[in-house]
Amino acid sequence: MIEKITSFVLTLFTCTLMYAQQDSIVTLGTVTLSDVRLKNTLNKSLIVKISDSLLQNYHGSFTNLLRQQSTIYLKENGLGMVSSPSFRGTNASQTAVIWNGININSQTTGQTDFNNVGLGGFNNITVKSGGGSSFYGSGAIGGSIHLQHNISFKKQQTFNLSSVIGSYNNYIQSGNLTIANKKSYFNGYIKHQAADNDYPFLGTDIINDNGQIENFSVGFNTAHKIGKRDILKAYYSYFTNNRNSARTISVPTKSRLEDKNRRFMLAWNRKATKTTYNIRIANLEEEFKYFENRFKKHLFSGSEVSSIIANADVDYQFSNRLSIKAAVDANLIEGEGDNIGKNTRKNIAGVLSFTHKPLKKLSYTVTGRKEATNSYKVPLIGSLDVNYKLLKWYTVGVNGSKNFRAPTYNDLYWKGLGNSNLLPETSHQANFNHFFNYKKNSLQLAVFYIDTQDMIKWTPNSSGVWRPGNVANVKNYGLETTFNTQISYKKHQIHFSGNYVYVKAVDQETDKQLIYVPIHKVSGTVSYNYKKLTVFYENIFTDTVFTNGNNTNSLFAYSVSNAGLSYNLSYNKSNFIISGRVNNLLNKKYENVISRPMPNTNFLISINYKYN
Amino acid sequence: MNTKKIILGLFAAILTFTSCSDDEGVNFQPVALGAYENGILVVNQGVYGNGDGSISFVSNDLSTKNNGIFSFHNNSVPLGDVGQSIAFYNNLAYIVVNNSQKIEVVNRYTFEGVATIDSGLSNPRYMTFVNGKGYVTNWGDASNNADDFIAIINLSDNTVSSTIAVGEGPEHIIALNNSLYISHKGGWSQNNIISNIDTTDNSVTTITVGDVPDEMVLDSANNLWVLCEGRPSYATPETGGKLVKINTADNTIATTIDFAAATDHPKIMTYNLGSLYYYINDTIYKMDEADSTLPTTAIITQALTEGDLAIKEDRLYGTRADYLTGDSELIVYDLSDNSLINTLELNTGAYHTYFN
Repeated sequence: MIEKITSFVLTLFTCTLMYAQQDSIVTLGTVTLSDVRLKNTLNKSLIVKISDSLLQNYHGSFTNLLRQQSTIYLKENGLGMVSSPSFRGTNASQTAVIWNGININSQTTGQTDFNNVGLGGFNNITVKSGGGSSFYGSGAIGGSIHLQHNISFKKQQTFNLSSVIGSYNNYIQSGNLTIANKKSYFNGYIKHQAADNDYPFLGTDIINDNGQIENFSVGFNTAHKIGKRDILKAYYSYFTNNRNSARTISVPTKSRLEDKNRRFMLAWNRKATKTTYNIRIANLEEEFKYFENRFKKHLFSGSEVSSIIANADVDYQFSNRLSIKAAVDANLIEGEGDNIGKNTRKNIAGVLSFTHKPLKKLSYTVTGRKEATNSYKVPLIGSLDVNYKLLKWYTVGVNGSKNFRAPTYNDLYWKGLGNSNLLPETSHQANFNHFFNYKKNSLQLAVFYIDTQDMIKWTPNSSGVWRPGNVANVKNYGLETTFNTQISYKKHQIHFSGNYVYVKAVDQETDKQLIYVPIHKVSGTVSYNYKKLTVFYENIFTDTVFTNGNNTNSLFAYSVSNAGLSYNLSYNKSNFIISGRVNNLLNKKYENVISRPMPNTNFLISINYKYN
Repeated sequence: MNTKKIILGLFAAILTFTSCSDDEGVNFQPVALGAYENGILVVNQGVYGNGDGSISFVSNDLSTKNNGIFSFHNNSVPLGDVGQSIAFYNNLAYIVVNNSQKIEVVNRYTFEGVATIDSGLSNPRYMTFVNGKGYVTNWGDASNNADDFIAIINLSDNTVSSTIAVGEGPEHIIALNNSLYISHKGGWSQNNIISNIDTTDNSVTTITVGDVPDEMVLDSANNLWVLCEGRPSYATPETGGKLVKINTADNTIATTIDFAAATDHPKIMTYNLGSLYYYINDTIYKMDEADSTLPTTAIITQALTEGDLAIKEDRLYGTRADYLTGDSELIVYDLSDNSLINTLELNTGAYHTYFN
């Protein structure tokens, strides 16, 4: 999953912002959201939406896509290696990743490795800043990332094949097929990538000699309408990812990671006159193996976790001004591993949410959630959102919420070291949001404050034994903004988009900035389109990050840019899209994790055939 | 701090937080002294995975301090990942860098590089010398309990000339005449043996001692004292520490002294002028080599991390490091009245001290 993005055609930067999308009630006949709870959050948070058209032609890493298109800061242990996200200075386990409405953060580590999520099965990604534990459970403190396959009962037959060749023997092949009519929808996909990743570390004579990756994903998304009111849906995704783990500047290694993820979900939606029902049952399986020496593959450690998740939501519309939502979430999780033993977790949560629109321009929502579990105590959490449409093009909102992050299997059960008395981390936060929208221009701005208590941290005791405890208290505050604008003249189009985040994340005991939290991060993209030709340039600036608690050691700030072009040769329903891309245009030497250099200038060429 | 705990604990922590630290722009103020004789060398481990191991020099009067002297005298090349130990032979210092799988050979007084031994080692720990050859303990892979060995170093060309297979987790190694004694702390696990190697034929015999044997010292009668830490709280079952005295004339156990509780884990030990000094639970005890019971009163109360204790000219040196914040100190006590003389801030992960 190389930092080799291909992006294309008109669709390149239609990464549109979701402002002003009215609560599009899930109805039959139109596009149906796979994440039925997401509509409750629109207009209440800063949101970046990455569209189907961008995703379809994107062949780079998920990490790089998010880094460029959103305010999230991601750090990677070298290209294609473990990649962890950070929203607003919170950590990776305080980011919830939601697959078609289901939280898929690893049960063992509490986080999602973005180089371990196959792209291909989604046609919509929504990045939502701010807390969301009321609807999405553990981890939705800094924000949440929603991976969805939205279904449309519109007649279509689309077929997509692509082949990509990049520097350091990077080869990607993928296929995607969608067939739909008024009653049925089917989408299937398959994707394979293999790369040697043996780039030189700039300024040294070292080569990234253990960075080989190979991954494969396959899956389907399907739905069928029954009568006028009911839809049945099924989603399946399988992803296997075999990675040798990259060396550092100082440490040669022979180690290797092998991951497998399977996800299956059945969903039923029913829309009655005033009531909407959504029921989902899912099974998630994650398997992880670590080989210290890949030449001795009989020696490894690993873990396997299987989760059964059942959700039921009922929405009742009293009137145009008043609605209520009740939901129940139940989870049964079984995990087993060399270091975590065998443990079962059960939890059940109830959610109640109430939305009222006392005035035409004013609305508010109150939500509460209570959970019962067998392994840790979860507090009552909730949120309050108030939105006011001041002007036709300006909406202002205030919200406050309490969120949590549950201790992970590693935290609770690690052999001899885990701490079964851990409490969940809890956070209180407030956001002051501004949404501007005028024609094809939009701007979102949020000022935020997050106070996190009982943060779980592994620290050594006086005998030098490292154990987890609820030891830290952190306050984050800052400003986040994202904009999108388009200028058209005859057949010329220019598109700008950009993101900026300022964040202070301060440990309350030491009064120091947390490690790996840049104070400033800026990303921007400009693209120009004329008829069948598109050219683009993008840049990300990441500020200095501290690498120890005293803030005496740090990594340099860096600015990295990429550029590319594409050309669409179309004939009837067939489109051939040829594109090229240069990453790290100026051959900058940079690291986003200490001692792990990122690649020098590299190239990617792709051919895409699309029939529709 | 020992590597086993780093692996068990820090690995879990890394999985969760991916926290790291760095070697750039540290309090490194190059002052070219020209010579590092007459002073103290400290190996700073750095943070596991960060590649920021380093060597600090402190003058005997504690007035001069130079951090990062290896890098300074070797074209700014970093020392590597997890500085482990130094062994001295003639004018040379052999710096064992654990996770970088190498030994840097430098002139011990100028710190100018002579050679790098980076082939044939696998998680190297400690080194000593017998009859013009170097011997290095190696843990092998963490996941493999049958690949541990002693690497024999040809000192004329600085290569590994051959290896001797030993039991799991060989740690400290000391020489007595033609004989080597190796404490098998256990690597990423726990062991309970001392290996004795006859260097004339490389034959290996073992002596079973307490659990997790770590530091070894020779007393005035050449008895070998072994500090056994006991199995830690995260191992099952947890066992208490022992102090074991081995008669090196016939390699039999002369005395075993038990620490009182299964939760007592003495950590570091040194020997000076007829007395043993060891560290347990933030305190330092002194015991006469003729005694057969443990002392009941501590001489110093001072939190340290598990580098070592070192004594020279009535001064005791210890180290303390916080791998999360980067705090790292050399702590010096006056043994004439057991008072604190000074605390010096060093680069991340201060660990072993040596007198040059």
